[in-house]
Amino acid sequence: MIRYWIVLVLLVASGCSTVERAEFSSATASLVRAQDTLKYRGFTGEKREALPKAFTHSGVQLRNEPEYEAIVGDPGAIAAPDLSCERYVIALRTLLDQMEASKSFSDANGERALDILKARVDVLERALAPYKERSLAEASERMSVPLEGWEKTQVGDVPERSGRKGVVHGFFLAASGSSLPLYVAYEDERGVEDPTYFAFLTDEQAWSVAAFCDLASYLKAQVVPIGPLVAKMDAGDLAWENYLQRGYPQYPWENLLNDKLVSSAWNRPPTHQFVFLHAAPGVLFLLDDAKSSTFEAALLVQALGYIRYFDEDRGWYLGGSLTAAFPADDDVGLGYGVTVHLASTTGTLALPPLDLGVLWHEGQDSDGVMISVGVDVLKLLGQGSSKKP
Amino acid sequence: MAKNHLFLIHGIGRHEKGWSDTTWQPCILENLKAFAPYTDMSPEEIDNDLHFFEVTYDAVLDKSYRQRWKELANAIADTALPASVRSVMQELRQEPDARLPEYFWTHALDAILWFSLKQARGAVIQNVAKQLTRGLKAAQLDGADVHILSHSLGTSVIHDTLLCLAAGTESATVYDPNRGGIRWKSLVTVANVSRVVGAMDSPSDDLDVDAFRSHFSRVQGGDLVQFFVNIRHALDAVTFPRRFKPDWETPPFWYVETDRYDELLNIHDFETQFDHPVAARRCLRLFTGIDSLGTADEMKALWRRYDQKYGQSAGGLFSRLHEFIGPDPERKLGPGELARYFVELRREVLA
Repeated sequence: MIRYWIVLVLLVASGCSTVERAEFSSATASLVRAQDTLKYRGFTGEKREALPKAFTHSGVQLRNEPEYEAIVGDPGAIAAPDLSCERYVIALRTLLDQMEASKSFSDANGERALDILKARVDVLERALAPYKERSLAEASERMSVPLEGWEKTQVGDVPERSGRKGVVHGFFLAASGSSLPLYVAYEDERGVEDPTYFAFLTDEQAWSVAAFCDLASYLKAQVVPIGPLVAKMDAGDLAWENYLQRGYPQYPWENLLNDKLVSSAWNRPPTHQFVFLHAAPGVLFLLDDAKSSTFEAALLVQALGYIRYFDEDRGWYLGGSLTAAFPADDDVGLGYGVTVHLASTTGTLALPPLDLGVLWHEGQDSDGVMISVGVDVLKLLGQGSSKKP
Repeated sequence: MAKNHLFLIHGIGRHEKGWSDTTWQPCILENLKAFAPYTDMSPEEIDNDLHFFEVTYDAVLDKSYRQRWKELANAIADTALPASVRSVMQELRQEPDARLPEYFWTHALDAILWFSLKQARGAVIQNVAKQLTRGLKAAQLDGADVHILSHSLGTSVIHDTLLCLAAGTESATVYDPNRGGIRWKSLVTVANVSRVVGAMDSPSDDLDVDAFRSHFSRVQGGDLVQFFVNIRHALDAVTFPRRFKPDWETPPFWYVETDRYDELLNIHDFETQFDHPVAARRCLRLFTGIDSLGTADEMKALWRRYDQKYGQSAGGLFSRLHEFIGPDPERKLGPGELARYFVELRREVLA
C-alpha cells in the first residue's frame, strides 16, 4: 500500500512537473525571444526613440565631432606609417584607462563593454609583444596578429518584431570572441524603419566605445604599405601595355593561340609569343636586280615564328619567322625565307621597328635572293609606299 | 579630405574619362539628396562626405585587341587576298557593311575577350589593380573608408581583381585583411555576371581556378569586403544565365531584386536598378557610413518618386532568350554561345 502511494505521489509529481515544465518551456521560449533584444549577448537593451551619431555613424563620420575629439583628441597626431607596435598598444591602453576611470562605465553594460575591450587589447598586446619597437606594418603582415575586427558591423541574429526584420549594429570583435552590440533597428521589406530602437549602451558609453574602436582601426589602416605597391602596379601595367599594345601585333587567331600556349598571370605578362599566319604589307628588294633599285610591293605572310620579349617592362623584342612573300607582280614569283623581328616597345631603342627578311624567289625570268622589309620600317624611314620601276 | 571614397567600375561599352559624370553620379546624388542631411548640401559639401573615383578598363581591351585587329586588317586592305580571307579582314576592319553589328565591337566584344582570353583578363586585372592602388593611396591620405560600386561586366572584373590582389605575393599586405591589409567597407554589384563570365583559367599564379567561383570565393561580406550588396532586375536578360544568388547570411550580404522599368532598353542599366528605394538606401547607408539615413517619411517619398518614374513591370519577357539558354539556367555558355546570346539579346530588346 505504501509502495502504491509512493508510486501515485511520484506519478502526480511527475505529471505536475511535466505541466510546469511545459509552461516554463513556453515562457522560456518567449523570454528567450525577448532576451534576444532586451538581453542580447549579456547586454541589457533599452527602448529608445532616437539615437545620437555615436550609435549610427561610422568612425570616419565621427572623427570631426566634438564628442570624439574630447575622447581621443586628434588621431592623426598618433598615426604614422612607421608607428611602432609598442606605441600602438600604449595609445589603446591609455584610452582604455581613461574610459575605466570615468564614471560612465560603472553600470553592468558599461563594465561588460570595458571587459570585452580589455580582453581584446590583452590579446593584441600579447601578440605584438615580440615586435615591440618594430613597426606595426611589419607585425600586421603576420597572420597570427589579430589586428582586424574593430570596424562597426551588423548581424541579423534577432527575431522579427511586428513583421519587421531586426539588425544588430555593433562591434563584433572576432579575436576575443565577444560581441559589443550598440543597438537593434527594425525595418520592413520596403525599407521603412520602426521608430523604436533597442540600445545597449548609454550615449557616453557609445561615444567612448565608437571612438576607441575607430582609433584602433584608423591607426592600423594608416600603416598599410600602399605607397610601394603603387610603383609595382604601374610597372606591371606598363609591361602588359608594351606586350599587347606596342608589341608585335597579333591577329585574333594569334591571340587565341598565344593565350593557350604562352604562360601568363595578371602580374606576370607573357615573355614571348608565337607568330602564326600573320599577313602584313611589305616591300621586296630584288638583289639580283639591285642596279635598277627595284622595289616590289608584296604581301608578307609570317607562317610561323617566335618572338621573345626582354626586360621587366617587356621593353623590346627579338624574334624570327618563316616567311612567304606574295609580290604584286606575278613575274617575281613566290618568295620564301626567314624574317627577323626586332623592335623597342617603349620607343627607347635606337633602332626603328625592324621586320627584315631574306627570301628566295622563283620568278618567271629569274630566280634569286631578295630582301623583304616590313612597311612600318619604310614609314619610319620616310619612304612612303612602295614604288615600281 | 573626403570621408568615403567610392570606386566606380563600369560595365561593357566605351567609357572615357569622366564617364560617370553624366550617368551614375547624377543618379547616386539624386537619391542621396532624398535623405537628410544631404537634402540641401552643395556638391562640394557632398564630395567631402562621398568622393567618386572612376575606374576604367575598356581601353585596355579596345587598344590591345579591337584597334590592333583593325590596324592589321586596314594595312592589307589593298592587297589581293582570297575571298574567304578578304571577308574576315572586312569584319576586322569593322566596316559598316560587315556582317557583325557595331554593337558587337563596342559592347559584346569586351565580355567575350574578358571571358575567353586569359591574357585579356590578366591585362584588365593589372590595369584595374593599378587604379585601385592609386585610389587607395589617396583614400589612406584622407583617412577615408573605401567602397566599390560595380555594374555588369565590372562585377566580374572587380571580383577577380580583388581575389588576385589579396593573393598576390606583393599585394597581399595591402589587400588581404588577414595579412594586415585593408578590408573594403562595402562592395555593391549591380547586374552581377561574375558566374556568367567566370574565369575558365586562373589569372593568378597564387590561386586555383576554383578560388574564382563567385558563390564560394573570398569576395564575401566579412572577408575581403565588410558588406556586400547585390542588386538585380528580375527582367534583366543579361543575368538570366547562371544567376548570382549566393546563399549567404543577411547581413553582411543583401540581395535586392527590382522589377520596374521605364523602357525595355534601360532594364539592364545601372540607373534603373539603383533607383529602387530599398537598393538606393541600403547602398547609400554603406557609402556614407550613416546607418540612420532615410527616415520613414523620406522612404515613402522615394517610393512615390520611383513609382512615377518607373511605371512598367511585366513578366514573360524575352522568352526566346530563355529558350536560347535552355531548360537548365545553370548551364555554362561557351564564348561563342555567349557572343550570340548578347547579339540576340540586343536584337530582342530593340525589336
